[in-house]
Amino acid sequence: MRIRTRLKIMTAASAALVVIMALLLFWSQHRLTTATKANDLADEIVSNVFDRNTLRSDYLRNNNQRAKDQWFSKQDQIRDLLKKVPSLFVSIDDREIIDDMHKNVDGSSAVFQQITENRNLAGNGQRHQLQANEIENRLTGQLLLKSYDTIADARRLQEASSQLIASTQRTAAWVSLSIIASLAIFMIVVVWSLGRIISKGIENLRLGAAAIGAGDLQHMIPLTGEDEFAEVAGAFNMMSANVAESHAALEQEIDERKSAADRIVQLNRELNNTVSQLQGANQELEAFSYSVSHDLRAPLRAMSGFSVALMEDFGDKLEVEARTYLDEIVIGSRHMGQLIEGLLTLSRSTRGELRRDSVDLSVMANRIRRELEQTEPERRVEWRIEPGMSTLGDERMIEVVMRNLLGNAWKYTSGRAEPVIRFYAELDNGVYFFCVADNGAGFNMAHAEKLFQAFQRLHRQEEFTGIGIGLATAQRIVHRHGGTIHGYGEPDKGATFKFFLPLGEEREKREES
Amino acid sequence: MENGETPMFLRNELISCLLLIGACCCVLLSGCESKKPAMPPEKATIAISTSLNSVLAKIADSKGFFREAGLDVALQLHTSGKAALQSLLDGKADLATSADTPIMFAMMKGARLSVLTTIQTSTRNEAIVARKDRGIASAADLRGHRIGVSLGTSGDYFLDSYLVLNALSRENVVLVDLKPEELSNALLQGKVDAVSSWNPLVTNLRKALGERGIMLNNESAYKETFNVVSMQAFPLQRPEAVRRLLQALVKAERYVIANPQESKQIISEFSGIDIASLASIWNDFQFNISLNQSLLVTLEDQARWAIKNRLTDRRDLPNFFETLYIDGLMSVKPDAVRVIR
Repeated sequence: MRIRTRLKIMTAASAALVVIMALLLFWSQHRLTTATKANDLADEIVSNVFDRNTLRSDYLRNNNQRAKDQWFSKQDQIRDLLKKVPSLFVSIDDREIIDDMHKNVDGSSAVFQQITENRNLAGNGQRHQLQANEIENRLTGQLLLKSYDTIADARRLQEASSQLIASTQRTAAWVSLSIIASLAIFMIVVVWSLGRIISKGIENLRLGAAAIGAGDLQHMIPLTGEDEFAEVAGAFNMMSANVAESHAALEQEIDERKSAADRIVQLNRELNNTVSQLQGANQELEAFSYSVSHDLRAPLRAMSGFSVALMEDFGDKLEVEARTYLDEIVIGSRHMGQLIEGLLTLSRSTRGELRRDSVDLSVMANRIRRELEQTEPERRVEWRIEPGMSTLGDERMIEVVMRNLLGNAWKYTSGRAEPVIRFYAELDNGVYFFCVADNGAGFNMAHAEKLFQAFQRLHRQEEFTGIGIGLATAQRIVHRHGGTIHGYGEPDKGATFKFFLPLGEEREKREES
Repeated sequence: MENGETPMFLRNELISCLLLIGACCCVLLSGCESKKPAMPPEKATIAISTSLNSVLAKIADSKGFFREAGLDVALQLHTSGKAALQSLLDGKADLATSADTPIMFAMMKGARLSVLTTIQTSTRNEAIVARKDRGIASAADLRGHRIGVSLGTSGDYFLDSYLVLNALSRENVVLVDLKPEELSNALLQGKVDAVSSWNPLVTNLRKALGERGIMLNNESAYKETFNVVSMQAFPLQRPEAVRRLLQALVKAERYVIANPQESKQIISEFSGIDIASLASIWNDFQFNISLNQSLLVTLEDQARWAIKNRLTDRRDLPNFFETLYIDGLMSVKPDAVRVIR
């Protein structure tokens, strides 16, 4: 049974006992009231009989009409009182007494009537006085004993009502005591029982919690009864089963993650090895590239020099075709020299220590602008260089970036009637970008991925000269600084290149890493 | 209580509860339990009349109330209370049931009696049955006629009172002293013109005479009391026997009130009166245990009457109050004692 049900039963039983007690008290009160009324009535009858006896004596002594009338009047009052008696006295014994009283009262009336008649007869001379005296003597004797009997009966009724009062009080006291004792016993038993159930239930839960807390996830709390503790124990058992299941799943996941972590470590190690190998290979490649580029310059210079010397010393002796070939060699050599120079620049961009200089980009841009204008003094280009832009970084490398970007803008606006080249700073998503924009030839964004690849060009050599290595070099330098560079363009509308260089600590951290 | 079964723990609780409540009730009620007699039964011989006066004594005997009270009673049957009282006076019985008149006469003769209780009262038990064919149609007609009566009995006193209240006296009639058992034949055979006696004799005689008979009565003439008496030494020497006797009689009193039909049946078989006749006069009697002040009045009135009519040699009234053994009834049914003390 549920504890709540037990408590409800206990409450209901207590309430029922209280109601019984209330009813008992009500019943007792009613009985006491009735008994008290009965007692008073019996008392009144006794009192009236005494009054009647006094009137009888009065009449017998004085033979007066007034006393006779009063005697009969009192007799009527006693009869009226007797009429009320049956409603208050209901036991068989009491009924017997009441019957006897009626007989006595009626008998008294008859006897008194005979006394008065006897006196009248004697008074009228119809009866001899001695005879009348003897008759009255007999009658008064009967009247007297009937009075005694009436009083005795009334006293019995009085005692019966007194006993009823006493017995009612005694019964009420005993029954109340019994009910209170029963209630107390009931409460003690129920509270003790509930206490036992609760303490046992709590102990079971405690032991279960302790066992599970100690790691015994298979522990099951014994399910006894159908009370709330059984429900809690059931829920607890289900919870511990779920915990055990989750625990097993968790352990499995931990194992899997551990394996995965081991695998990742393994992969990282392999990756690091690969990266090391790649870095080594890269370095070797760059060293090789630098070395080749560097070493190729001497033979190229010799080849170009000797070709020029051949033209200068034996040009007039050579046929036109031979001279043309020599010119191609010289042009090829020059182009190759540019290529080598580019490669060397590219190689240098990834080599050497990265310095942390404070660089005034606006000044740098203006300087490059002047150099470009000197190469083609006839061109009129509108420069819009925002003053005061500066950053931290390797100044030599940043200048390479600026030269490439501004040089491209200069180059690709060559065909414009009103060329405009801008250099400005722009806040984009909380990051300051340095932007180089022009209204030159632009490019198709569909090929944007080729922009920063070495030796990739989006324009033909005949349109715009170049070796296709400048943007690749710029990107490498920006990346070395931890920054990014993007290009946006549209054919015949111009192009914009945006780059940012992380400053301060962030850049330093990246440098260290 | 699912599945219609009482759970074990609830059963345990209920059993514990009931045991505790039971134990509690036992403790509470132990003080109320009446003690049963442990002493051996007391032997007593009770002389009773076979008339209706001894109903309670007969019922107590028939229903075994004497035995239950611890009394081994032997009933001694007599035709009248006077004869029963004589048996007591002769030492042939320990107790007797008798009307007030024989008791008064015995005491006037110096008998030291104790009245233990009144067991019956009536104002209609005594009556005069007269023969109309002898010219008796009313009280006044009794003058000069022969009236059979057992002198010294309640029939005698009733007759005297009846005559007085009707302006007659004993001297105006011819009293014929007969034993109670002789009265019926004397009237039926015409030896007397009327008889004064008590039930069931008077009722049976009235019935037997039919149209020839008449019953004369006056409730104002006499109130009969029938009593249990013993010699004065008896209650002093055997108070426990008296207490048990009264216990049994009180039990009989309650039985008669609660079971009137069964009581009538027992008395009908005992007294020889048919049940219909018995039923017709049953309510003329009050079968109550009591000791009333009125008994003293009755005894004294009768004593004065006896002295006046020289029915006794004694010239002064004995103290009838000393005759009453009040302690016995006080110990059994105190509210039945209504003697002014």
